[in-house]
Amino acid sequence: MAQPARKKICLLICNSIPGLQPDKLKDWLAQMPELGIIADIEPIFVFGKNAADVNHDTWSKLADIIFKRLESCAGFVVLHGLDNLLFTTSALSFMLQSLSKPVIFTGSQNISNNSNDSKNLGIKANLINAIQVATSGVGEVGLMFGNRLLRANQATRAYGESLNLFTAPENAVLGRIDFSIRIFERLVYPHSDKVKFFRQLNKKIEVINLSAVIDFDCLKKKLSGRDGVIINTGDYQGLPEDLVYTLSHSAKNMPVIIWSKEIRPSVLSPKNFLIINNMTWHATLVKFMWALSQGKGVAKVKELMAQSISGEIISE
Amino acid sequence: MRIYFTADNNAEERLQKRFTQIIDILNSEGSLVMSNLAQKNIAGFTSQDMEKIGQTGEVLIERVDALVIEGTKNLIESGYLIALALAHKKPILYLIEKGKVADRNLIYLQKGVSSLLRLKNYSDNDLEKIVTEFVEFAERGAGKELPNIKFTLRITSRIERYLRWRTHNTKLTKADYLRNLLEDLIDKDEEYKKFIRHHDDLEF
Repeated sequence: MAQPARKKICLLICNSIPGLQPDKLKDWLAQMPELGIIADIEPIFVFGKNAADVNHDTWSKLADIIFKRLESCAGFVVLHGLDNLLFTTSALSFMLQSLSKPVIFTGSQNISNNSNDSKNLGIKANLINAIQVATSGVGEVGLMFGNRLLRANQATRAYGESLNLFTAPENAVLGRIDFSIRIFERLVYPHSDKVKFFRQLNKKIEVINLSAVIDFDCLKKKLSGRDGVIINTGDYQGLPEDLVYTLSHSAKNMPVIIWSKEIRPSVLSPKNFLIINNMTWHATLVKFMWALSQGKGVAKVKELMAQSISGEIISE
Repeated sequence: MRIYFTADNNAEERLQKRFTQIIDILNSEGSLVMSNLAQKNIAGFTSQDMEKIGQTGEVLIERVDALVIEGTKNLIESGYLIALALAHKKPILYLIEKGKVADRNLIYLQKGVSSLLRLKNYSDNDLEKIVTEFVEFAERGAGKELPNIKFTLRITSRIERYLRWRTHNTKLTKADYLRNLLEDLIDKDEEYKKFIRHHDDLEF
């Protein structure tokens, strides 16, 4: 029987795994021989600390590795811990725009080095599904957990007993698994012929979580070294007057993004303010970093924030 | 017993007849067969089952007892299905017509790694025997060895005390002990065996 050509999938490790040494990746992979019947796997060690330590530098490293292998690999699977996962996936969707290859993130609540451990079944099953999706040609940054493939920059964490650790609006569910994986091609974000690679995001932003204990003097000082401000209003229905006053004076030349489902745009009189209510918090924050890195002033940043760049705008 | 059978939907008529033959053999052995052929892939699960499975994040392969693949004409998804079935400790029969060679990765997996995977070359003469033996293997062998259904059982302190005493200084957990008791009951229950032979396709 003629053997069909096997696809090469790059498996990027972006999380600490007990007992896994960077130079023993092949041994670790050998514990899961099932993966080798789906594709040729090239494992690469990216980051060995806990996912909570993943930051802007890790995103750049990850994006760089993927960009350099876009020609040689059919797809990419990233094994990542749950902490910071939605920031990393969103970041990759803005750093690698118009992707023609799948970049599929997966993981588990329990990542161990013992693939025979029944508690570790989740990671193995998720990895198998993610690798299969990575061979499919879906040009998206996706999340593969449980039985659903989600567009990563519209996903949020789901809590409960389910193996579906993340959820997303129906239009961002890119695939489902029953016996096989069904990809909903009509929902896949269109891409041009050439990927647009943005190696750096602007991290000089001030992130404010609304609460009753904001230190405005401290905030004023911090704003002097920033290029933008982003506010997570949580369930607040209005902005504190002192905050609006402080930002109107100390941040008047920089864009201020207010991420809110509750606050009406009419309350935002300063022209450098923009309310965002149609993206996830994670996508909004990282998109803001990307928009700022384009370096084109407040109006341009506001314009970019309002546009769909990588399918992050939630339409429902 | 639920078995998922998969093969190339676009194979020539000669092979399509074989697929039907394999499904008939499985059915005659008392198995409920689900298949990618003829859009029957979710037969055997009620809409409530499907909704529940969708919510729990499980994949359907977890809910079947075994996987059968006719791989004479290479099936793109077979590697994925085998990998997933092995991850869930499901027995697999991979059938190829005599004279054809299986993928070398599958041969490696069968020889070196997994006792759950059976690669078999078949002819018209021995197809039924091979399939029948596999069903037997799946029923009695590895197919049911992984207890993966959660069940909350409230017991009295008297029962708890007994279980603790019974399993003290043994390698058994209290759950193992109860599982073994139930397995013994199943093995000895002739009425149930008769029921399962004829009515395995009912939902219960």
